[in-house]
Amino acid sequence: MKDNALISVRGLEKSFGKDIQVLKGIDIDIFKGDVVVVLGPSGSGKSTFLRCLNRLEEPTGGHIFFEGTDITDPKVNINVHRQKMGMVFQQFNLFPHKTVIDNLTMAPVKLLGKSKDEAKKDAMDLLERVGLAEKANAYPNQLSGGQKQRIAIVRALAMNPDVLLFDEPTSALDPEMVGEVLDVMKELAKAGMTMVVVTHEIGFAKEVASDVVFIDDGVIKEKNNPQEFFNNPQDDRLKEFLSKVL
Amino acid sequence: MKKTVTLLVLISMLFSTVFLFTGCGDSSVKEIKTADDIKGASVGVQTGTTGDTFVSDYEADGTKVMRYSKGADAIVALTQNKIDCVVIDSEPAKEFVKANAGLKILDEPFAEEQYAICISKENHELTEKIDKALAELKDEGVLDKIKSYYIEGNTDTVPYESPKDIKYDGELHMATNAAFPPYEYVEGGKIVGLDPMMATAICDKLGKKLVIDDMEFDSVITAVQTGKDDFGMAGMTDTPERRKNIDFSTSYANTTQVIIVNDSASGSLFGNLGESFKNTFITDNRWQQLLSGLLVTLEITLFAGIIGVIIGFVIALVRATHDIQLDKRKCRSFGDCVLKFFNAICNIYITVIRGTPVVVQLMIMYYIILASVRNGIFAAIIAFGMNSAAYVAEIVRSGIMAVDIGQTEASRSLGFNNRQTMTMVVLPQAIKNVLPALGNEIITLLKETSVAGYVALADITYIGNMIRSRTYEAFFPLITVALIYLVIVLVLSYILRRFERRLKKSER
Repeated sequence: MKDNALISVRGLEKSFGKDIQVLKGIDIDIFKGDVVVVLGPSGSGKSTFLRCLNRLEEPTGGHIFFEGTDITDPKVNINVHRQKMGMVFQQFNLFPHKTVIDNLTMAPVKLLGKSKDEAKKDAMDLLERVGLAEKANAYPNQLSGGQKQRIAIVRALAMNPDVLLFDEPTSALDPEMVGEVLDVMKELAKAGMTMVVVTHEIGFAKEVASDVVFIDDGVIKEKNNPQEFFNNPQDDRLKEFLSKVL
Repeated sequence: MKKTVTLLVLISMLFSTVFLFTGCGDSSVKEIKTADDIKGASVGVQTGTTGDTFVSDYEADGTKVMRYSKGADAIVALTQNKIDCVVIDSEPAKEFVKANAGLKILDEPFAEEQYAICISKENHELTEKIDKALAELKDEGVLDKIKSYYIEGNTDTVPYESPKDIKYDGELHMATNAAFPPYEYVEGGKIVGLDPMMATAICDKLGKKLVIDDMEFDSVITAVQTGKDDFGMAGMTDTPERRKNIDFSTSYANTTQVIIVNDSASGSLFGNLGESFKNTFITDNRWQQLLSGLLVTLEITLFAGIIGVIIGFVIALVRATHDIQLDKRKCRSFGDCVLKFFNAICNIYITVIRGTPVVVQLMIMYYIILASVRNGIFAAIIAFGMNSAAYVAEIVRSGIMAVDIGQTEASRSLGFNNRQTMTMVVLPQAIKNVLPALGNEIITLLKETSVAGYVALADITYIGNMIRSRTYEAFFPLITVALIYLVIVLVLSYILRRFERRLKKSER
C-alpha cells in the first residue's frame, strides 16, 4: 500500500459460493480528493467491488486499507470505519418511517454524540445546499426520486465522511431527474470530496472524474485520466465497450 | 351503514339455519320398551359415568353409544330424536323428566349401584378421616335428612348448616360436575345439591373449609389423582375399574341406572320463546353468570395476548437475526454458536406448539406442568399465551424478513450495528407490516379460549353450556354466546383498523 493513499486495495477477491468468482484480484489506490469513476459492462463486478469497500459484501480474499487500517481484519470494528465512508444506493434506501430531518439526524445523534439541536442545525445547512430545506418535515414517500436521492446524499454527508461511495446513484431515476442529482455530485467533487462512483453516466465521468476505471470479468482492465481513457483506450474489451456506449 | 346491513344479514342467516335444522332428527327411530331393546339402538350417556361403562358393553351388539359431556345434552338430543334413549342415574333422570313433558322413565331399572367419595390413592389418611366422618353423619341422621330434602322433596327445613362459630384450619378442595341434579347443580350462581351439602358436613367435621371446583365429569378423577383437588364427589359410582386409579370411601347413597325414552313425539324447541328467554337470562340471575363468564374470557385473552406478543417478539428476533446473519453459514465465533443454539430451541418450540391442538396443550399445562398450581386461570393464561407466542413469532418474523434488505444496508453503511439497525430501522417497519396479521391472531386467541372449560374454568362458553344443562334450552344460550364473541371480535377489528390507519397516516 502507499502511505498517503486514503484507500488501498490489494488482491481483492470475492466469490459467491464455490463456483462463482466475481472479483479476481483487484488492486487500486485512491487518494484524498480523487473522484474515481468505475465503468464496466453489467455483471463485471463493479458494484460488488464498491460494496466490498465498506464490507457490505464480505471479501473472500485480499486486503483493504482504509486510512492505514486493514479493515478486512476480522478483529476490526467495521462500524467505526463505516462512519467515515458514506454510501449512496441505487434505490435511495431512505427510512420511510422517519421524516427527512430524522433520516438526517439519526446517525449523527446516535453515533457521533451530537446534540439533537446541533444535528438538526447541521442537517438544515446541508438541506439548504441541495435546495430541499422546505422538505425537512416531509416523509420520504412524499418526495420525487431525484429529491430522495439528494436527501440520501445529504444523509451520508451528515456523518462528515472522508469518502463517499456511489452505487449507480442515477440508474433508478426518471431521465429528467438525473441532472439534479449529478449537479449535487459535481458540486461535491468541486468542493474536494473524495468519491468512488459506479455509474453509466459517461458525461459525468468526462467532466468530473480524476480517474476512470474499467472493470471487466472481475479485474481492472484499464485505469487512466478521462482524456486518455476515452480518446485513447488500450484494452480491446474497453474499446468494444466504448463503441457501444458512446 | 353498509357494514350494519351486512351484519344483520349474517345474523338472520344464522337464525334461519338454526330454524331449518331444528327437529330434523334421524328418521330411523327405534322404540325402546325394555332394557333388552338397547341392543342395536342409539343410546345417549354422560361420558365417563357408569351408564357409559354399562352401555359400552353392548357396543359389540351393534349399539351406537353417543357420549355427551353433560346429561342434559343427552336429554336435549333425545327430545330432538337424535338418539333413541338415554341411560342415566335415577335421581337426575327424575329431574330431567320433570322438566321435559315429552319424556318418561322405563319402569325396569337398567342397573343398580352405589355412590361414594373418591380420594387419591396416596392419601389414605384422608380416606380414613372421611369414612369416620361419614359414619358419624349416618349415625346422627344427618345423611338421611339431606337425602329426604333433596331426593324425596321434603323441603320444609334446611337439613344441615355449618355451626356459626366454627373455626377452619385450612381448606379441602372438592371436584364435581355441577350438572347432575339433585346431587349437584347450580342455583343462584352457587353450586348446591346433596353432594355439596354432605361435603360441607364432612369438612366441618374435619375442621376444614370446603372449596368446590366445577369441571367436566370425566375430569373429576384426574383432578383428584393429580392433587388439583383433595377429593371428588359427583354422584360417582364405586366401580372396580375406577378403583385401579383411585380410592373410594364407604358409599353414601344407593341408586339405579334407568332408561329415559320419548313418551310421545313432542317438544318443539320454540314452544315458548318468552319462557325460554326468561329461563336463559332472568331465572337465577343467569345474566350475571354470563357476565362473569365474559370477564373470565376477556381476562384470559388479554393476559395471554400480552404474554404471546412479548414471547413471540423475542422468538421472532432470535429467528430473524439468525436467518439474516448466519443462514447456511457455520458458526465462526462463540456468539454465532449461542445464536444457533437459541434458534434451534425456538424452532423446536414453534414446531411443537403448532403441531399440537391448543386444548391438549391447555390440559398438559393444567394437569402436568402446573399440576401443583390450583389457580386454573393462571394455567390457562400461560397455556394460551405460549400457544399464541408461536404464531406471533412466525408473523413477526415474516414481517421482519419482508423489510427491504436495502434498509438494513443503508443503516449498516451509516455505522449502526446489528442491534441498532434492528430496533431503529427494521422493527418499526416490520410492526407496521404485520399489524393486520397480529390483529387476526388476537381474534383467533379470543375464540380459542372457548376450550377453557376443559380445565374447570367458567368462561363464557362454559357458562352457556351450564345454563343449557339447567334449562334444557339450546337456542338462547348458544346463540347468546355466539353473539357475544361476534360483538367482541367486531369491536377488536374496529380498534385495529383505527390503529392501522393512524400508523399509515405518518407515511403520506
